[in-house]
Amino acid sequence: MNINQLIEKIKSIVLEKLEFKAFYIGNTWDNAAGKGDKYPCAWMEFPVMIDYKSQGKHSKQLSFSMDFLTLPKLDDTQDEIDKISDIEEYVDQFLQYLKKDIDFSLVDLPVGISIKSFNADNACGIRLDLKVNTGRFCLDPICYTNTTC
Amino acid sequence: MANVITYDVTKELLNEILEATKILMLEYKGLQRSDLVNSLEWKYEDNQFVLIANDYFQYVDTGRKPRARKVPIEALIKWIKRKNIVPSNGQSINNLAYAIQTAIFRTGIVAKPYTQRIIGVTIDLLSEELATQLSVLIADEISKELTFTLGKN
Repeated sequence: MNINQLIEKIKSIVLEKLEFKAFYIGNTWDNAAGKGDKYPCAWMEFPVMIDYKSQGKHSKQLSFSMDFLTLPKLDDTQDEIDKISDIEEYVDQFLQYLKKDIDFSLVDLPVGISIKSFNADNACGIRLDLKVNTGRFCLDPICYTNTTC
Repeated sequence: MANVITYDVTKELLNEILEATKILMLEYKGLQRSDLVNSLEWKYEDNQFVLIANDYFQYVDTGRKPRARKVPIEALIKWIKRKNIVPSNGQSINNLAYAIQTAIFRTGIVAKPYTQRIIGVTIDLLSEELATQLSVLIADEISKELTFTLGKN
């Protein structure tokens, strides 16, 4: 699986199976407010780190982060906590779909952290770090099965 | 009526002060790779010398007491990403940000009290430079006055 295929899989889970209205790529805090972002939304942060080495010759490991965001009422802490909790549940579902839908194993427990005022829209939610193992691209499978290349 | 003597603050002078400020700040451990030093800029506006720097300039100067309000985790995440810091094995960026936040909360941040030193160095440089400039201007004025008086006679 390459990065493009990974993006497509994640996008389909976020938009088709969960109640997110938008999926974006990049760092949310680098984008100005008021550009028509829809909430709740999910951002896939870049860069994606690809570890070709540590997983041995049959697989590689992709590390990336996701931001699941929604808009709380301004200066309303309780609403912020409620919204973060809602997003927390969406992330639970997201991880289950990811595990079920995609043919790779999640490794190194996904770690989430609650965030608030994360971008110019003052969105809150959960930031999730993920590491996944996936198969390697190889025209000649013998290469990765019988040698150490 | 006496003439008003004016002097110009040249770009070279501002650059000289900037260099002195940077050298002074680079003496502090941890600032060598910081964006703070690169953000420095001296300006001369409305008869005042103004130092422009990133907004956390004052916080680095004063440090942070232990058990003070926690640093926002969001700011730490952005900082880790901007600096391309790769967490050690078994850690994620979220883990690292949380660990840094907790560490700062427990131990605080040691102050780097550079502001007073910058003011001192700047005043020294400016007094020297302005004294030189003024002496030249005063000498010019005196010689003009003398020429004028001699011409009259």
